[in-house]
Amino acid sequence: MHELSIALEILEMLEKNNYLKDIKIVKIINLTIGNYSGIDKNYLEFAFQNLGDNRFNAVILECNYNETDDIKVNEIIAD
Amino acid sequence: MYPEHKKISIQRNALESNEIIAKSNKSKFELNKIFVVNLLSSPGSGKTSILEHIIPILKNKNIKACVIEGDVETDLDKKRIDALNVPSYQIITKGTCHLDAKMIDKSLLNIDLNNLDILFIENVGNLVCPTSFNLGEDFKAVVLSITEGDDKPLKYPAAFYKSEIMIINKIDLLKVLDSNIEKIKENALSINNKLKIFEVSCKTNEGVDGLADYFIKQVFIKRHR
Repeated sequence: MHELSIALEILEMLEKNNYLKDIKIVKIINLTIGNYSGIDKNYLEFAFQNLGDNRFNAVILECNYNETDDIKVNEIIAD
Repeated sequence: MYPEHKKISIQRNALESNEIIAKSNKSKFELNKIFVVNLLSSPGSGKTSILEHIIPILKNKNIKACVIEGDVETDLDKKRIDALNVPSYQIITKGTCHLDAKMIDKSLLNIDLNNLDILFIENVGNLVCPTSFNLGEDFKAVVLSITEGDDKPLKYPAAFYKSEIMIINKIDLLKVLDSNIEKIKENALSINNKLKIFEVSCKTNEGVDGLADYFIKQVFIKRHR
């Protein structure tokens, strides 16, 4: 359930900053995930796909990893 | 690569919203010079028992403590804290596996920050999820009991990486278990070599005074900063 909270936080950040304006489908989210962040990429992807927000139904996550505790959204590819 | 799609650069912290509220919580704590500890552990490692032993010592030194209890269900831990005659506030998360800054912000409406020296936030028992969410605390303290095995720091590195101190609890059981406390310390320090380690037993009180002294020192440092 941790990843679901993270997905909701990311959604809130994207909405608040107007990144999803006029976006119908988010295809890819590119993230940097620290090895000490406790995040599992597959669970996070599953959480996005099951948020109940149709824009993320088929989203794929592309992740880079580093030796920190960061969770950073680098870019999204969307329609 | 995807020429027909929009590529939108973001470059932002995924937990930005939580961070903003955590900063606001922290500024309230700083304003009132309250030392704040976020206690992490797996369920049953003894977070509440440690508080039951530490808080009376703090009270004897006229240090005013308060506890925010985070649990998925029930206020059983809060009732134990209430028996110590210190203020407490219960957050029942109803399934959520961690506390976040918003929950703490809301709970602060019920706490008299003007009359407080130290706030313990007992997070939901879980060594994974609570590590991601900054609450505005001064530091995280991870509790690990002897019964959990010496491999836990390696299996759940985030909790140990992000904590300032590790409290090894239930050391009275070393006599009857095969647990290797040196291995626990070695594994934890391999994740975070700055980790300050305390060994305690809430059964025999061993190490409890030393841990209480450490918190007392932190309160005084905060007061005079």
